[in-house]
Amino acid sequence: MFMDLQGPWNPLLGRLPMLLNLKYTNPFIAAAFAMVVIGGIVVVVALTYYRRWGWLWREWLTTVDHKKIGIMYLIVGLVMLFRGFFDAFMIRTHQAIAVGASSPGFLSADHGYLPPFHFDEVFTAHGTIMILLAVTPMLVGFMNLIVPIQIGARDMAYPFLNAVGLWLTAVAAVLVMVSLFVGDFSHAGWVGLTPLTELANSPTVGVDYWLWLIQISSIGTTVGAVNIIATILKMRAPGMTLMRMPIFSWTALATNIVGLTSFPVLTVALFLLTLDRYIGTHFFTADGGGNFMMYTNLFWIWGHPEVYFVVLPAFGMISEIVPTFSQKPLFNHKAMIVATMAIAGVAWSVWLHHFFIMGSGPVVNSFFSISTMLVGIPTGVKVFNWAFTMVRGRVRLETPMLWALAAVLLLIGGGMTGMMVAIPAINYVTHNSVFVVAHFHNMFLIIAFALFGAVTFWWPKAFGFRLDERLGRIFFWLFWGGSVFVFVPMYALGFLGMTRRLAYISHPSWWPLLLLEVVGIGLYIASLAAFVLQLVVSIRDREKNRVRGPDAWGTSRSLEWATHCPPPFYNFAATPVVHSYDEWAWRRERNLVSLVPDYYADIHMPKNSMVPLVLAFFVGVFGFAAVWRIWWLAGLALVGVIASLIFRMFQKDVDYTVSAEEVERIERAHLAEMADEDTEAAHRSADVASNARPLTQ
Amino acid sequence: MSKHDTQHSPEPVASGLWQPEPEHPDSIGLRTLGFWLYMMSDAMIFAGLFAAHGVYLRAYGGSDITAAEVIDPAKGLIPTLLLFTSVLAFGLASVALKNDDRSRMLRWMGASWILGLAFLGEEVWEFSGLAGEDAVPQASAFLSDFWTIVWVHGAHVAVGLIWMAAMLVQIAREGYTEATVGRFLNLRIFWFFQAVIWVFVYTFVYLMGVS
Amino acid sequence: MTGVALSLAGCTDSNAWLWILNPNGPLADASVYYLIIQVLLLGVVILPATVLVIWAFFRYRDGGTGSYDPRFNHSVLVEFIVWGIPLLVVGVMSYFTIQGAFAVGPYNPEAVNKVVAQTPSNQKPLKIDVIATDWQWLFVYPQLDIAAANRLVVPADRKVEMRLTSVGITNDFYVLKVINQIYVMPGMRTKHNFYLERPGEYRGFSTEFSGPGFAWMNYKMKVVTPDDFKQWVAKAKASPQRMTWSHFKQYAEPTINTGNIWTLYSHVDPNLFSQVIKQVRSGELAYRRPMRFSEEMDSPEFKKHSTGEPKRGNN
Repeated sequence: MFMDLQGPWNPLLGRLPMLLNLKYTNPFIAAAFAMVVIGGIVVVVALTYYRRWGWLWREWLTTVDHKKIGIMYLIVGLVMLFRGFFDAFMIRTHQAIAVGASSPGFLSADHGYLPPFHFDEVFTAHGTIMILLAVTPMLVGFMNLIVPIQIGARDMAYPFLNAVGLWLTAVAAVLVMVSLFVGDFSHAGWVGLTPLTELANSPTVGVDYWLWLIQISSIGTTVGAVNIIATILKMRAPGMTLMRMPIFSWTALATNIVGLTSFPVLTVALFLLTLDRYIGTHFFTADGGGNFMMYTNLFWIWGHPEVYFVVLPAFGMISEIVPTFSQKPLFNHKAMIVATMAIAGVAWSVWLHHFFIMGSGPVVNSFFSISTMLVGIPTGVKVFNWAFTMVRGRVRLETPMLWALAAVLLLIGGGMTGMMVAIPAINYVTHNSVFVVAHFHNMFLIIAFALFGAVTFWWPKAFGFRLDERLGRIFFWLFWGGSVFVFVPMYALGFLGMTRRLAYISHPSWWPLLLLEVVGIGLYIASLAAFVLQLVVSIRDREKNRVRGPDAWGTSRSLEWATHCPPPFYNFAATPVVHSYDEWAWRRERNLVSLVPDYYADIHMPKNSMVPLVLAFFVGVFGFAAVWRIWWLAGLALVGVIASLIFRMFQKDVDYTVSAEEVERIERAHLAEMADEDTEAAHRSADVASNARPLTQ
Repeated sequence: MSKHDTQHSPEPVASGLWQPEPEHPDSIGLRTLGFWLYMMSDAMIFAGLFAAHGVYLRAYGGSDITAAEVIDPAKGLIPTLLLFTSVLAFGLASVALKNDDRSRMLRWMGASWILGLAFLGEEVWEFSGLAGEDAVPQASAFLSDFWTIVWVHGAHVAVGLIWMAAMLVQIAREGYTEATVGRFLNLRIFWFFQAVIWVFVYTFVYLMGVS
Repeated sequence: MTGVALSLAGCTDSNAWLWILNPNGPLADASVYYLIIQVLLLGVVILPATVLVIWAFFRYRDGGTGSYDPRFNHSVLVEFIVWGIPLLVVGVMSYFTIQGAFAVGPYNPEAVNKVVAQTPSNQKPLKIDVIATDWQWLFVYPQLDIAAANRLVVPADRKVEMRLTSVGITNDFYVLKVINQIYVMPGMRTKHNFYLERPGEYRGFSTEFSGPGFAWMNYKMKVVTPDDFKQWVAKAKASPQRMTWSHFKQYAEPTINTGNIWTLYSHVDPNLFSQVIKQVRSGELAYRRPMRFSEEMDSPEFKKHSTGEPKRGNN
């Protein structure tokens, strides 16, 4: 309908008849399909066998508790991280084989084992998944999990919307997984530059999957951004002025302001491209008066702020971890806040540095180059302030600190190469080379390191026990080794002139370096195995690693440590009154670490709701129908979306009250349990106790 | 309400550390803040569209249909008036809310709804006329942009109308509660917002389009 | 795998694998010059930062020699230095950035202008029109009425003025070590100016991903002496192939140059370049890519859109 489509289309099934011509013989796709199916069956059987369906529905699928939503965001992010990682593994191994005209070819590829059709799909999926469905959900997950506790709130400002955001993100993840088996994914790079993504040049449904999953996940992100900003502005505990707000919440505020204002620009760019592909408008075509550089501009007006959208919370995590393990307050924390806001502010005036080579004049290029370099100043300030936080501190190198320190060192390297490629004279020779790829992976590794640091750091807060330290270290060193072996050769290859996204490498002298990268990817695989093992072992030994009391590390500083591990569903039995920037450290120094308030009061909490899940289901159906151009189904799904919203509007009974007696009972039970463990297992907790040294001597 | 110590906290509890009854954030104010934040992101969508409009202002490609042929500011006045009267009616509905007069409020909101629907009808009529003259969005980038910018606004009006219809039913059935009033105030922001956007559309697309 | 090892040994331009060690011509020279200056300037901040992080960790680690003082959490002096010095460095870098942007700006590169002004020559600049198709390169020499597909030959010691456009997708023109990058866009014209100082063989390729044939958009670029260039022109003139408009429309069909073939043309439609831009903008010159044709590289459909096995001795 509307368009000159290649392949079959009929009103009932849309383009789905195209599936009859697909080849499912590729062993990678078959293996991935088998994995997904077997995994799904195992989960379903396990849930049925242990009779956990009701539990899953009540406790997780319909929950509006920000902590559980945060954890589910993290699970979605981690699963997609593994998927994106598998794509990376295929890119690296393929490129290591497809070198030189006489290199061997397998599975209908002339060289390597991925024909261009699949190779292009794999790197596109890798980029899209890693940025939008792995890193972003994990960061949003942490913001969900930590920010309300850190500012002393009972929940997010809009718990219902919070669940909507989660399930939209999950639906986007489902769509990308569906594209593996039903049709294909985009072949045009995660940036999807026009006119390559126009229907004439990308005739399959791949680009449509890419379009709709980004649109859906960015609605989720926008909803989340509204929620977190409103939570931070309105729900802070009494006494917590903005200048007393912990730095992670500050970065969450900054990042969501960036997100809220930049994601709509992406929405516009993709919407116009959607119109081009679906009804044949001429926004980004070369003919008909179209202007495809407009897409490039719009995309990067979102794309570069997006970079800061993901890196700022990572900076916030590092800023929480370094003081805790240096046993000192964050150095010059006001300057850190200023630096955070400065980075967020400059984010808007740098986008053109992604295409200096389009033929723009030296004046324009210089402007965008200099504003890009300005970002380096507040970033440098952050590095120095982290270093000065350690100065005159007492640095304990526990796993979270290990990750954070490595992230700081990576930031120095990535910052330097970033400044280099921001300079037009250098950019003209490094643009789109793997040097740039190594640079932005270096920057994303900062986020990955900060995230894994945060996982270790906040795990006891979320689950009440610490992760296994020894396996954590093994995980860290393997991951570090993988990073070095993959990205140092990649930087070198960039200087040798290797371009990104090559399905075939014509230059055989690069082969040794490409093989080194395969060593790196091997280390990465081992590191992820160590991570999974760490999780399994830690969950098995959870009694041994149980955290007693609110403070898992003994030297924690901000407010999230002023409640139980894990926090009860209402977070704080009574709202804390904040006296200092480092409230928990302030209380510890004054020996005011009791969690028992003067008296208890009733607590109002939101009720669970199945509407977010149903709503997201309809959105997912809409996305699928739109991809395959099944218009009747898309229309029905849209009606479903509107109906669920109206249904929610007419729901009256949306919250409930926990009585003061009930709160007291829960609190007493918890404290009694802690006290029991105190006497029973004092010897077991020697390591925890040794960490809890007094702050001042 | 008792005060108790456990083995875990041997120190006496200092007063002023906890505040058992939290300050209840004003629920309507909180909803409104969130909705303003959402409107900010919606405004960015239109900012992007208007930036695109600047680029496609004269992008006719090979098509011989110019802006002067499809855009008539005088004709554009009719929907403008319809929309503004609808906003005025909505404003009168909020006055009635303030005076706690439910039936008058419902009547004004109904009037606003009908005027909004008339606006949409007028747009449909106008654009089906354009389609009849082959001035379709596929003809040139300029026309793509013209149709898109007007109809993204039109979609906002349509969403507003669905919302308003649901609001009418809800307030008729449930009266003024914290939830309905909060929702009504957000709808007011939304309805005024789309009218402001229409001012921009009229200025940048209709008036500047032919100048 | 032995094949890879063999071709490793037979690599033609392994004499200088780091482009920064062996640039040719003022453009590449300028980029290397600014690279070195800017990295040195960056070192002013980067080195102290690295040293500080590592030193602070070792000295103040638990059990280290540093004394513990948690009150040290603010210092105006430190703050002044950590904002001030990076600001100064960025200021100085900005100066070189602007200078560099003018030196290598492709439309009017001052680095090239300077060299051209110093070497008086009675020769007019050589004009080359570059047309990127899906996924091949056509180099047209309008002054000489010849063209070469997937092969670029330019004389040393002569300014070259390029115009670039594309048929389907945005590509990115780049010759490692000699010519900086510039977008090649459908329906639009970009320009490039350069001057090369000594003969050599280089690798040209696209750096902007443009679809399944992207990885095979490689060609050899030869910089030759003026005498050799004359000989090469004569060779092209002797070619039986002629790049007429109708031949171009056939040539521009989506083709993956897996065979790494190159062709010379003894005649070119004089309006080819402007005609391409005009017809791309009007939509008359447009190609539809077949769906999924690159999924199986041994299928007849792929063979139809590619140039087959690479031939030995094809240089």
